[in-house]
Formats: sequence, C-alpha cells, structure tokens
Amino acid sequence: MTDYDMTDLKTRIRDLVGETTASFFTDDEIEETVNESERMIASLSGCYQMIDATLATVNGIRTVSLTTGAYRAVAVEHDEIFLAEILAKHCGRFPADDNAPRFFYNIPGGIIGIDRVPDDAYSITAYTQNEPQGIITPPALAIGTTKTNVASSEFDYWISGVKYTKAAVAAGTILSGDDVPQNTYGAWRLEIASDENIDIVAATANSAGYASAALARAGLPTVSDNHTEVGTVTVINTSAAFDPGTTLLDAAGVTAEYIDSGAMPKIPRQFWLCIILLGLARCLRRQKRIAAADQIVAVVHGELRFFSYDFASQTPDGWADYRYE
Amino acid sequence: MAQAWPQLGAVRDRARKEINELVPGFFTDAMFNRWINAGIDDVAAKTHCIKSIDAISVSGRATAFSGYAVKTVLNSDGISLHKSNLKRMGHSPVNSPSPQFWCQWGQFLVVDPVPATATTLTVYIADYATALSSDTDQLGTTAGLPNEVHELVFDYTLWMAHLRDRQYAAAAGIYMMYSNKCLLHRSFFDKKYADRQADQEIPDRIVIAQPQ
Repeated sequence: MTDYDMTDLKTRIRDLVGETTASFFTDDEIEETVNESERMIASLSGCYQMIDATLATVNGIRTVSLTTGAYRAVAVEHDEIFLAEILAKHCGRFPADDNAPRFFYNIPGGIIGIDRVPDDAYSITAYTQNEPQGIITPPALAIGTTKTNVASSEFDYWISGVKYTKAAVAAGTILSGDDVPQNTYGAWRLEIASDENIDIVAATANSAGYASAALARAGLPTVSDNHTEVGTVTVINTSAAFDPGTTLLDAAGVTAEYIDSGAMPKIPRQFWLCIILLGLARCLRRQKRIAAADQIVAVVHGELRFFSYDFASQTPDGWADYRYE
Repeated sequence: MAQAWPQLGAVRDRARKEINELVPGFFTDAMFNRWINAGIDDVAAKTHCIKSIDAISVSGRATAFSGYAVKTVLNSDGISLHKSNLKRMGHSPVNSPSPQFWCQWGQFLVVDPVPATATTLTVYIADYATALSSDTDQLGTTAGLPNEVHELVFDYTLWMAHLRDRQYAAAAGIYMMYSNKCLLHRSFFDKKYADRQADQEIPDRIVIAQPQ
C-alpha cells in the first residue's frame, strides 16, 4: 500500500488545488489544514481507537481520567469482564455485590465515572476513541554524528493545535533502556512534547528481544501524555547484545531501521482520502469557491458514513448465524 | 509503447484519453500514478476485495493485526469463533479457556475468554493492496485487486482528474457512480448468509410472484 507522510499529503492537496509549489497557499497553511482535518475526522467518526490498560481506580473516588486525548470510553474492562454502560442518574441504583467496578459512564472531557464508588485501586482497561496527536513534517531520522544516537532534521509538530518547531539535532538523541539480546530486535520511539525535548521510550520487552522488527514496534507502549510521536527505530545485532547508548548503530552486525512514523497520519488509512478532500475544501473556501467547497465536504461526510459503520458497528452475530438450518 | 490493460501505464493512458490530454501537460504522469495508487487503496478499503489468511498468535485480550478489517477467526481446530462485541466479552458462556468469541477494536483483534496460554488463530482479513511503481505493474498480479474491480480504479482516477480540472459537477457524477459500484461490489465480497438445507432440496412447487 501507499504510505502517506506530511510531504505526500501536501503534494496530493496541491495536485487538486492546482498549485504545485507554495504561493497563494503556504506550506504552513496546508500543514495546519492537514492536522485540523485529521482531528475533525477522528472526532466525527471515532475511528482512532485505542486500548488503555494502565488505568486504575482510586479508593473513594468515583471518577477515572482517561489518557490525554481520549474523547470517550466505548467499553471498560475489569478482571476480564466488561462493565455495563449506564448513565450518571443510575448511580447507586443497580444491584452490585461489592464495590469492585461493575458499571461505568462517560463524562465529557475524557473522564469516566465508576459505580459503585471503588473501595480500592482496581485495575481497569478502557477501549477509547481518541484524538490523534498530530502529523509532523518528516524528521528524517538517521544515525547521528554521535553514532550511538539517532539524528533528526528540523521538523514542525503540533500539540493540542499549537505549532512548534524542533531544530535539527545532528549529534542525535541517545537511546536508552535494557540491552537487547543478540539476534533479536529491539524498538524505541522518539516522542516530543511542548518543551521541545525529544524523549525516548523503549518497547516493553526489549530485554527479551523480539522475533521481528514489526513485533518490536508493536511492543512499544502508547505515546506518552501530551507528547506527539516523532518516529521509531528498530535494531538487531547479530554479533552481540545491543546496548542502547553504547553500541554504535553502524557497528558490524548491527542493522538499524529508522521510520518517520510521526509524519504519517494516525487515523486508519481508509480515512486518509478525507484528509486530502478536507484540505481541498479549505483551499476552495479561501478562493471563495464556496459551492465547490460545500460539495467536497458533502463527499467527505459520505465517506465518513461509509467507513464509520465499519468502526462504530459493534453488531454481534446471533446464535442462529452459526447453525446449519 | 502501447500498454496492456491492466498495467499502470495502460490505466494512465486510458485516463488521458478520457480527460482529453494525451501528452503530459496540466496532468503529469506522476499525478496520475498517485491517483491510480490512491484508487487501488480506496477500492481495497471500500470493497474488502483483498482477503488474506494470517496466522496470529494471541496470548492476551487484544492482539494487533494489519489490514482493514477482520472478517472471520478460526481456532487451531479449524472451528470458527463467534463474532461478538466488547460489551458481551466476559458475559457469554464458555466451555474452555481457549478463545471462543472475537471482535475488532481499531487495529486489534479482541478475543474472549483471555487465553490461558498462547494460541494461534487463523484470521481472515480484508487486507491492504500493494502499490504500483513501474508502468508494467498490474492492478491484479501486483496490487492484488480482483479483475471485477479494476474499472473502479479508473473511475477513481477520473474523479481526481476532474477535481483538479475544477469540473466539480462532472466530478460529483463520477464519484456517485464510483461509490455505488463500491457498495455493490462490497456486497459480493462480503456475503452475509449461507445456503440453507432447504435450498438444496427440490420443492414440490415453485411459484414466481407476479407484479400487481
């Protein structure tokens, strides 16, 4: 499949707008539109779906805050059983044998309420619909001039709709964490917050190593609160264990792969066309071609309805669907 | 050099004829190639016409998968798991510690009950297409699209070309046609019901309803 990054998205919007190089529409404007469009698509369709297994209740506190960026929880699990969703007005009225989580409800602002009021710290897992962190301009990750580190070129990124620019780091950002055993893969994510410092997050099982680069990337935890993803690095060392921050990334036997994943949309790829169409619509409005812009937005809504069913539909099969009648 | 359908070059040449620009000018070849590849992705996403069968090892509640959608899940005995939803997980009757129910959440396959040990499931997935890069790459053998949806890629390409050309009314018409065809093809690729036993018996009498 074709992977789009911010550069690709801008090119495709410019294809349709008819302006190949920045003139009437600046690159900043198109980049801002791309990020706004991705957030709008996520909020309307609920397509950016995450699983947060790090949550816990607090003794005596009814509410639990979801991870930053979560719109709402569609389902909540405790002790391998999914809680029933209620409304706040039902609190205390439905039968419960104890004060372990049995019911939940959503409160606007990424908070859930639990009934009955928990009497302990209970681990819960929330299945949430989220706001994407933002698409950055390509950071061009590569080996740093300090060869244990990962270099990045200058890139723009957005946190909660505010744009920041991170200067190039030629020497690179040092990797950290557990050693990765010989002949297995380890993965690290580079993240950045509004403080403009690049942070390193390691995959949870780097100490055991992974069988493939894809599995190593899948082992990365979710992006930290108030951070946006820059990119990922996977490494395998066939000569010895890989010691992040010590083993050179171009040492004999070391193969490193750098992916500018932060520069790609976070919402599922079937919605990427909508990012391009919304970008086109915004450019048409700026040109006062309102009827054309409205038509494009209507197409986007049709696209969202087409795919949202796949994401929102949680219709199970009935027992009869599996009987030979 | 003449291109043979359904090669990338042939799709592009046909689109140029339709848009009445035989030599690259307002529409570059790179643009057409981008639209054709985007069309391939969109057709695969809308029709679910590319099906992969993957072996996925699950050891927890949720396991990541790659593709547009999970369609069917079989356990290691070749028996299909029952499609459920999140709210029913943990509440449905189970008779073993192995997964018996599944649903999809985002890019995760969610199973119930949570397996006691790692188990390999056979997962039927509506999968991504492969991008075309050379003019001789084909919609079928390279991208993976079945023959019956190749025309949809052409429709998508024309739609994009009309948008660039600011022919918005024509673009709207092509989009409606393209979208309806996608829906129709989805119904072919995602059948809902199996035949019944009665469908294999010859009935005593067949009555064809006449219009009133």
